[in-house]
Amino acid sequence: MPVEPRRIHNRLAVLRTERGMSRVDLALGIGVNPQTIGYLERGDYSPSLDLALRLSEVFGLPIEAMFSTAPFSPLSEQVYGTTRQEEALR
Amino acid sequence: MNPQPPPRTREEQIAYNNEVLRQHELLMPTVRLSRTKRRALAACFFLVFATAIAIQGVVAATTSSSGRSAINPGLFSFAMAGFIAIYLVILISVGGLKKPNQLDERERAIRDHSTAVAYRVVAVLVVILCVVEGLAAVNTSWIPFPPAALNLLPYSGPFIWLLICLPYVLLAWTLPDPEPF
Repeated sequence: MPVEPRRIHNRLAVLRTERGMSRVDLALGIGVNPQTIGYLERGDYSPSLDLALRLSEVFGLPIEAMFSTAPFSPLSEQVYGTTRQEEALR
Repeated sequence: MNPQPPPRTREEQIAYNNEVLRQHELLMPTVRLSRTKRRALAACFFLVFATAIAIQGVVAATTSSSGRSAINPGLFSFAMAGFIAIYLVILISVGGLKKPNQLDERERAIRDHSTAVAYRVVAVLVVILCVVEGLAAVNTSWIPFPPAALNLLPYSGPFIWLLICLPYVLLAWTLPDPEPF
């Protein structure tokens, strides 16, 4: 029985910005059209396993660090271990 | 950014150069039109196509009744030139001139999808035309134009054209605005 495809969340925009790469740099690194980087970052297009592995090689990270079926928590929350609500309660 | 570590042997060098060239071909210049402009061109395409079909119907009807076409060949050629020019701009703006090996997986996926949709649309149009022609063969009193205009053979050319062009016209209609790099 076919199942609905799940939305894949990613951290590509954050990782690319961290490394100071432009979309063209990343596109050349993984062999896609620079337009495709925008689609990937917004989650409008889910990459194949081959493309995900190429991204993994470029960023030097495992695939699960870049893609997840659950939304990624904000970076500030991960760094400081608090949520905005907790911040407000302080 | 280099796609692979620097090569060592000559074979590796050749393979590396080919890969870099292949990747840079992905960035070759194209006509970057906004979605609005592409949709306007697609609308022009359909307008010209509908006109061509109407002209074809008139040619079929007048040729069979009088033995001589009422359509000016010069005017028809001019319309066809305009049709081809519009199609070429559409083709370039959606990257239709790229070979399949120059497309990435997302581009191939959307091209394949639009081709599948175009085939379904043309198949439905051909079936409708066949049904209308079949009904007209039984009783011609209900159609407002000469039965000769329903002969399918003269339409085969425009429909083949439509089959070739429609995937890219659909892409021109559906693709969003190009993004800045």
